Amino acid sequence: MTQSRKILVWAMLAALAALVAYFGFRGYVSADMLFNIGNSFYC
Amino acid sequence: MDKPDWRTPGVVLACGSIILMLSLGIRQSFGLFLQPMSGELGWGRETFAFALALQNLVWGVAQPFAGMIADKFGAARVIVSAGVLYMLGLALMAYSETGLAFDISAGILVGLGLSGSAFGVVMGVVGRAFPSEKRSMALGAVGAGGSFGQFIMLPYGQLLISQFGWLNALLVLAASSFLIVPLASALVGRNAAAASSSQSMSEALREAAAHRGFWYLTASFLVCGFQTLFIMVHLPAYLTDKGMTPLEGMTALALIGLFNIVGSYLCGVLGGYLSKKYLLSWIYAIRGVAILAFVTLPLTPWSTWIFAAVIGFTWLGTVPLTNGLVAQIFGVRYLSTLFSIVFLGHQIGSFLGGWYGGYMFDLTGSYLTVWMVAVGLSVLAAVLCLPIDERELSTLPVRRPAV
Repeated sequence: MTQSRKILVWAMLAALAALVAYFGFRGYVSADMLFNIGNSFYC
Repeated sequence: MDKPDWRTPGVVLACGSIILMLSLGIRQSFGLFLQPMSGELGWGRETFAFALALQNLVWGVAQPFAGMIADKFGAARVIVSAGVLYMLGLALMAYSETGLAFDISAGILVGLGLSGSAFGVVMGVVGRAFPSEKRSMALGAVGAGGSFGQFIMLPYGQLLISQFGWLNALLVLAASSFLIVPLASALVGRNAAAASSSQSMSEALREAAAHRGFWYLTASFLVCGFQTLFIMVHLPAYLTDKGMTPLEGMTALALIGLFNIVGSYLCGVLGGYLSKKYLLSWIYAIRGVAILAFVTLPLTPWSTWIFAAVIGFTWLGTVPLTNGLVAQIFGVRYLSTLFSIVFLGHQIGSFLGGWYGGYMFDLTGSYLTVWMVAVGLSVLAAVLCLPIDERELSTLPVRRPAV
């Protein structure tokens, strides 16, 4: 694999990781999650 | 001419990471089912909590046996059996209408599934696939896979519950867990270390039992289990009690998950260059300082998030270092067995952390005592790691009990 291709692969992986982290984080603070977690203390 | 083996170390690492991601991640989402299942089936919170506590115990007790079978007959067989048990457990969870049925499915079957598809067995294969100079990095990478699963499966589980209801969500998770079975084919292979060592399993166990460092590692790992499960189970309740909103609490949990991925990998990488016992000691010391600062300084969203980031960074960083230290001292032939015994200490700590947190809260109306116990245990674990003799036993001139 050439150097430029390696950089491209790593850049794509980094972008993918950032996307997953962003959507994962949004999932944690979604309305459904907060509602479920809030309710779990009262059941 | 023989075809080159497709099970290269990279493939073993990738498939091992995905297996850990699935097994640890799916389990992480179980707490989300508490409210909808308990509400619909008319269970109290303790019915659900007991099954999950049982799961932790079954996982811990069965893990050494899973490790022994993996070292003797091959890890892939154990992982395939575990994948099937995990899937069955999840599917039966969906149809459990009584507490007993839930104990059997979520507690026993999933616990057995975890024992064969989580750290001990998978890390044993990954540890053997890499030479000693790259082993710590590889263990860190596979640990980061597990951490990634823990981070991502919680919102994934919630998405499934919101879209399809809790019963169908469990069936989708069961189907997801079945992916463990085909992935195990990458972990088929002979234990190459067996060819170069004539040591029997009972000799290896006796050797480890006579090494004080083995017990220090087990004790420090017990502390790790105590702290992580206490924080995982009781932190949201603690924050809510202190007047923080669910949004702030969930942001803290997300930060723990996110920093856990980075911490697991970096701890593994650092373990390849620096002394693992000193790194472990630092991790426990940092945790102690972070907990002490968190409970004594004024509680704000930012103090909580900084605490979550620090704790997350050290969350599973102990796993590649502890596993790497076992491999470094005792060799890799019986790595799954020996690490699984150390891991039993972790699971006992997990059980104690979850239970003692609730018990002390009911008794005193506060978590302060448990936080202080967690700080004291941090100091103890940090000190216990220091005298461990990190030298490889086979290179020592005379095999003798070492500190």
